[in-house]
Amino acid sequence: MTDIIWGNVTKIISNSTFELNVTHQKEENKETYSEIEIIEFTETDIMSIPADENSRDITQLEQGLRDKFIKCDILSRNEQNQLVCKVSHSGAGGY
Amino acid sequence: MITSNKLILTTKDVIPTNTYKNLISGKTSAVIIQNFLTKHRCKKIIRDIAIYEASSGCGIKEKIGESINSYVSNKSEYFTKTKISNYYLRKIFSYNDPRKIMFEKISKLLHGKIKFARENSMPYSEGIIRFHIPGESVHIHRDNASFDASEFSVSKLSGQISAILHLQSSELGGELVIFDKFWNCHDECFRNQDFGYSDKIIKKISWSSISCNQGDLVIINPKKYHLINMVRGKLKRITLGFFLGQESESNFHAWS
Repeated sequence: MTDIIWGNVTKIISNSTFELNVTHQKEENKETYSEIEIIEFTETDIMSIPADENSRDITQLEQGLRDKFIKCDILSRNEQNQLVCKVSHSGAGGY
Repeated sequence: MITSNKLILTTKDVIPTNTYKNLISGKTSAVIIQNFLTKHRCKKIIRDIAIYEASSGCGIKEKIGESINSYVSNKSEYFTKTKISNYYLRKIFSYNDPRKIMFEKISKLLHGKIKFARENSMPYSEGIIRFHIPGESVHIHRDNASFDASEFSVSKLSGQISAILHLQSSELGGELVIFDKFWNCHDECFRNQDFGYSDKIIKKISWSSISCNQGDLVIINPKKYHLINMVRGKLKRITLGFFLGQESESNFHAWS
C-alpha cells in the first residue's frame, strides 16, 4: 500500500516542486515523514495546473496550490531527498 | 463555552438596516426571519419533496441539488449533474417555489437584484435541499468559494453569504451553531482529512445557537465557522439553501 501524507502547501519552489507542512500521516504508513517535506509531483487533480510540466508556470502553481490542504500519495523519494507524489485535493473545508 | 448575542431576530414584514454590511463585517452573525413560511406551506413542500430520491454528497448523506464543494476537482461533472438536479428542483417547486419569495425578501435586505449564477451559459445548482437524518451532525466548517472553488466563476464574486430555509424541524437537536471567528488561510493547518476543521480552531471562541424552527429563514456569513448539532428524535432536519455573492453594488448571484 502506498504511504499517504496530508498538509498545507507553504511555498512553491518550481513548476513541479513545492514545500509541504505535513499535518497528517496515514496510520499504516511504512515510513515516517518530517514536519516539512519537499514534494515533487508527477500528477495532480487540481484543474488549473496543466498536466504537462512544460506548460506550467509558477503563477499557476501559486494560485492553485498555495495554502491549500492537499493529499500526497507517495511514490518514492528522489536523489534530492524530495518525495515524489501524486497530489490531489483532500476533503472539504465546507459543504 | 461563551455564548454570543449577534443574532438579529426579525419578521418577514420588517427590513433590518445594514443587513449585508453587518453580516460581512461580522457585527451580525445571523439574521433570522421568523415564520418566513407558514408551517402549512412547509408541510406542503415536504410532501412535494418526498416523492423524489435523494443522493449523497460532501458532508451529507441525503440531498437534492448539487454543491460545488463536492466538485472542486471536477467542474464538468458538477455542471452535468446540476442540469439534472435543477430539472428536479423545478419539478419539486413547480406549484410552490419558495426560492422566489426567498429572492424577493433577500433582495430587499441586500438592496440588490438576485439571479441564479451561470457560467458560459451553464446554470449553477439552483439551491440544495439537505436532509439531516437523526443521529447525523455536521462537523465544524466554513464555506468560502473564493478559496475552495477558484476554478468556478462564482469564486470571483465578493462577500459570500448563505440563506437557509428550515422546511422541517428535527424533534430535538439540529441547532446551527455559529462562532465569532472568521476563517483565514493560516487555519488550513487545522483541516481534517475528510471534512471540516479540528475543534481546536474554535477553542474559547464565543458562539450563537440557532434553533431549527420550521418556516424560519436564516441568513449567515458562512466564512464564520459553524456546525450543526446532532439531530435527535424521529424527524429529519430538512433545509433548502443557497449561497449568494455580490457581482456589483446592486447585483447578486446565487448558487449552491
